[in-house]
Amino acid sequence: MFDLILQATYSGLLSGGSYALIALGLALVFGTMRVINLAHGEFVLLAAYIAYTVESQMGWNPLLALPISVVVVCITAAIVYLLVTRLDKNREMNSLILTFGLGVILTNLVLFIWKADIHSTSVGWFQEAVVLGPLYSMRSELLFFITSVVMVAILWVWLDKSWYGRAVRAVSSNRDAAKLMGINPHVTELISFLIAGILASFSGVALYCASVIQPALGNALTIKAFIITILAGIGSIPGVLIGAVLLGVSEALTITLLSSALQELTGMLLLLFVLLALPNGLFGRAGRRG
Amino acid sequence: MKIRFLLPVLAVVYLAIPYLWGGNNYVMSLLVAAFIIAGVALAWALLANLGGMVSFGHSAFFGVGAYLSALLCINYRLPVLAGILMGGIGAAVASIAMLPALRLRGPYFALAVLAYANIFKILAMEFKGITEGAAGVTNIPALPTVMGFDFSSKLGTYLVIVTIVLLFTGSYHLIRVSHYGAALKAMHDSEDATRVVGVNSTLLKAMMLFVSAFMTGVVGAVNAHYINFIDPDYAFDLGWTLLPMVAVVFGGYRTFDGAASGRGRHIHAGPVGIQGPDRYRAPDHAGSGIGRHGAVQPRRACAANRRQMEADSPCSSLSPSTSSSAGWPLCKMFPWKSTPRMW
Repeated sequence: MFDLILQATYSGLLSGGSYALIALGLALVFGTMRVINLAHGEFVLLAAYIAYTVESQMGWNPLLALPISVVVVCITAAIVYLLVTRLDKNREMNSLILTFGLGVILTNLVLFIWKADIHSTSVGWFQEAVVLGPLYSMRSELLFFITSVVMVAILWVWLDKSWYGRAVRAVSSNRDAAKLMGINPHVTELISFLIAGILASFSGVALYCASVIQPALGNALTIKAFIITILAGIGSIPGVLIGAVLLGVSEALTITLLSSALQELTGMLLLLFVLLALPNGLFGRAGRRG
Repeated sequence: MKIRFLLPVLAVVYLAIPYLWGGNNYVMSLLVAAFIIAGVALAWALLANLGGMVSFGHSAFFGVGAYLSALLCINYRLPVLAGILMGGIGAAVASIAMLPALRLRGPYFALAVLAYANIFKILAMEFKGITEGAAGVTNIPALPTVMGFDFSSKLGTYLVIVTIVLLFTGSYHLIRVSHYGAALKAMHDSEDATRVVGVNSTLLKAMMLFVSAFMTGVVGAVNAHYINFIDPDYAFDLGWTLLPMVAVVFGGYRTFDGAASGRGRHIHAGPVGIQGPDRYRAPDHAGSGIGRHGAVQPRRACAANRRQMEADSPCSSLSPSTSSSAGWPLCKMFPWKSTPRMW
């Protein structure tokens, strides 16, 4: 039993890492613009399907799809940004409805182009086992986890050190003051959307290599990413990683100890608990939401 | 709605449409589907338009109403109409679980309620002893035959759902003109200010949530008895939140006849829409009477309405929406605040 729990915790840690990469884009846009991009899961899905196309049509390794998917997803993200930025009233609320609708459109677009079949990579290398003492995982899972941690670190340093990173943080903490300092908030917001697009393409390609994809996945990914963003609190990048691991581990333990059908329930209960009991998330700075 | 519009509306809905299309099952089934969405849209609009609470969780109420009514009628031999009523009450009781979420505002409320809806769906899936799980509930009793008239036919169901939607419309109107409506309107503009003048906003929101849940539950129950089969994926489908939302937003957020007429256009844009670009004009019966202008041209509708209110300056009424920096296509799609309230 102990072995089982240990293995479940390890698997949960790895899948939590992958959730973190997906949630990071959502958290970044949410932090900068106070816009919950409910189409973010569909960005990931789009990248995953591009990886599938590259593998099945051209016979390349799906990792080579990264440049293509970055371009396509970033264009999509820019379009979504242009639509969202045209809302000038009550943007927080109205963008929720707008991006939700765009997500539905993207899901149906994916359904229209690629049909509803379930796909997964046929490259055997990804599926081979990595054994660490008593713990087992697939190579792709470990790769996904490492990519995720590296990306989180890069983003953290970028936000901390680079000019644009600091501009993003400035706009997120006070838009008007940032304008007075000569920062163009539109450019900054567009950049955060594009970075969210890049993160989504990495996670999409990794998702295709590590797991199975289907059009209905987009919505589920968005919900998971949102749960993690709320867990982390606004404006906390390492919080996203920790929140994601927390979600991944609690899901894995639910599956092992109770039932796989209750996996989704864990996330929802966690979300409700944090929303109702911890007003600022686990690591967020102070702010009102109620 | 002005009282002089009421009689023509009733005449069209109860006499003209059944007389013209009563025998055409296809048209009737479209209308039933449209009015089912209209019922949920009204309930959604009650929360969103009056209280300013955008909810992503109405599928929960819809599913609870459908399941409760179906199971009570099957297991306890309840009459179908009593079951429908119980469905509504059950949905209102279920909404008690959502009360803590009322503390949240804006997107947080919307998404907390979405989490609740997902939890309800999972519970319906998992409590196999009561709900039959993913297999769904089959052989749900149909609407009864009263005095020789079969209400389970398409025409009969149409009459039932139309009556329900009209009743909801009436209660929506009554709430709107009551002092609750005034308080809700004030709360929408500034919740803090409303609290300052002594309105118990939490209680008010809770009551609106109950009413909205009741309405959605009733419609869900009617739908269950209409199609005679439900499963968790269908009854708790996110679409039951989404389609009414599309109807309300399309018809004009924060207007009334928009919520009611948006649904008619929406459904026709689905199955009939492929027939050609004049889909908005051809089968106009669903939106007729209740709101003839809300859906397609919210801006014109709002201008016309304002002209009634401020008859001396008809031209100035157009300026807020035309000068909006959103540009016209988005302004047309999202006439959030530039649209005055109907009634």
